[in-house]
Amino acid sequence: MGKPINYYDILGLAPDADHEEIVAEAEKLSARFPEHLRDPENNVAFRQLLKAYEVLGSPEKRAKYDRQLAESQSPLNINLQTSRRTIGAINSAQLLYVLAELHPTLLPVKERPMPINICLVIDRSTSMQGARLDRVKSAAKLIIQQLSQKDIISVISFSDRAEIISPAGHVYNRAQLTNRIDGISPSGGTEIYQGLKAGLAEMRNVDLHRYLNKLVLLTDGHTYGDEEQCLKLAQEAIGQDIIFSALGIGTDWNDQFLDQIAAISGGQSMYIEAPDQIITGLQNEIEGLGAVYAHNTKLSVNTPPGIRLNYTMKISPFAQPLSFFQNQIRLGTIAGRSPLMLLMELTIEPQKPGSKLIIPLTIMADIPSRQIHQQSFQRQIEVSVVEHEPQFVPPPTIIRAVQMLNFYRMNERVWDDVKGGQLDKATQRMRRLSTRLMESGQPSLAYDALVETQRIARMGTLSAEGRKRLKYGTRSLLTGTISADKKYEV
Amino acid sequence: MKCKECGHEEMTGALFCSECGAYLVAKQQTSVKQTSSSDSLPTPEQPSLWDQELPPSEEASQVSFLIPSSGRRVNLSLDEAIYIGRADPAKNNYPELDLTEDNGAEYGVSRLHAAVKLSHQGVVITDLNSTNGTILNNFRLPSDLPYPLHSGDELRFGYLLVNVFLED
Repeated sequence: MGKPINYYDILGLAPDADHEEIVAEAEKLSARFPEHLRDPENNVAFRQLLKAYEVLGSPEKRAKYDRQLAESQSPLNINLQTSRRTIGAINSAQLLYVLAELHPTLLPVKERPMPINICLVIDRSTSMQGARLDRVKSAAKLIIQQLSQKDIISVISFSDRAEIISPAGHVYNRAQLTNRIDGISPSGGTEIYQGLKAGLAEMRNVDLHRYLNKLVLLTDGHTYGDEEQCLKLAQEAIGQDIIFSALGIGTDWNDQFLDQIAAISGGQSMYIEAPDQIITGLQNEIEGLGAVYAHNTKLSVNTPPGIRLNYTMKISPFAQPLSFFQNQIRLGTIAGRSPLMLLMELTIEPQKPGSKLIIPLTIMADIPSRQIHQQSFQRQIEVSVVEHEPQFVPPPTIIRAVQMLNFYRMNERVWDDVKGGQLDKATQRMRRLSTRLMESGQPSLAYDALVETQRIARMGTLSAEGRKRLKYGTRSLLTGTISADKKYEV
Repeated sequence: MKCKECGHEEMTGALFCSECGAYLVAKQQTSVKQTSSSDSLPTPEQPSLWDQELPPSEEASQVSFLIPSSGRRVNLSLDEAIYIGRADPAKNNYPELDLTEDNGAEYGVSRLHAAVKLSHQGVVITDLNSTNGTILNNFRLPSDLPYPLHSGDELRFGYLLVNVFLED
């Protein structure tokens, strides 16, 4: 139905035609129009020809057009929106928000282009006894049912030491695997290092390049004293493109630690408040893998001097703060249906008026369905520096996302205040956060914030539950700003 | 710049106060407070009406529609009016931007929903008396009145979100 515009098509030339060919072809075509039809006002075809010639005949315009054309045909669509188009030449540092959206140009083929190599690392410490371990088992069994013949799964359980419940391999005998999972019994403490080590060793038994590699850690406890070692293990694995996701069950696990690992790997850390959420949580992890279009996606930002990237938050398909690992930000996978979206905050030091700031972004990705391996896609953020910045209303999506990001960061600051002993500040901040959440139509989070306000005032700290609820609750608001449009039902 | 509600000093370009969460972009100070439970978003200014003064038209010769839910991008020329809706073979009606394959029916897109065209005052959009309406940046358009369209605008046909980019 639509008529895609391609000026080369109008002239009937290939995009690599040289300037002389374009001029010659345009003249030839134009000569075919009889005198009375050479009227750009009334004749569409002639108008299009003139337009095509105007653009392609000028080397400058053609270069710009070629770039646009390449972007529209690129296997990865990358859209950048900025909170401002221009900045004023002022004497102090300024902020710029950038929303980057990455999505497939074509929908991926139905069949999964790349098999999965998944490892479930299951905490079986005493505290997991009962509903928690039961639900974890059910979730694991459900996942086994969904794997295809080509996928690889390994299952590890750990307490103070690790046991290989099922070594890495194809699922031949589902019943046997299910029985082994049922046999996991709770006892002992939580040493995540043991579980990760055994899990990664299993994953590495297959050729990692041929799979989408994902390690899912399910735990409900603090690991004691082996955080540093865990992080080192994780870093090695991330260098091999293994994604870490962590499902923290209950309130006693170390969210900052698990977040740290997820943030560098492109995976996610999730808060599972009640055992019944375990199944959905794990299910989401798998579902995303079924429709992967691109993976091993990495972003590098080449900030010129005087510009700094403060903060990068993935806001779709899930919310997760991201951080640099070996000069790159690992973005994880891009699925077919929902775009991958990032919100970035940059600080810009004072600049000269009349200059143009260019911040190049490079995204690297593997796209198995197109046989693309680590292709780089270049884009740039452009902002002009002017004497007086005209008033500009940022795009509505950016306003919403930044508002939610601000909620998330206000809550994080409360925790910093509490740790720093500044309880008055913490109480005031939490009360304000509660008010703002209420104004934004989030009564249940506003209520949680209010309860925690009182708790800080009376007892000098937050409850572990409230802290996690607010942290992950404000985080998920970010995703809500984007996907709200899709949740509508008519 | 200073936050008007708590006096905290924020960097130019900040959108919300990091201390108290207030919205900092001056013009919308009031609108951000009129939040209802269903819609917490700062409502952008109402687009100016057709018969009011319009800013100088943006130079545009083609328009690109991005449909985030399906990931589809459609480029169309503004040489002629672009009709938006769903294909209707019975009436031999084929709109230029056909949202059938983007699940338009489920999202409440009418067969003949809206039109985008180039006028002497710039690019405009008109809701064609659609069943579920057209929303331009959170503003519901009265039907049959042209409203100016700018690059980066968000449109909703029924509940289907479409981003618009104008290109020259």
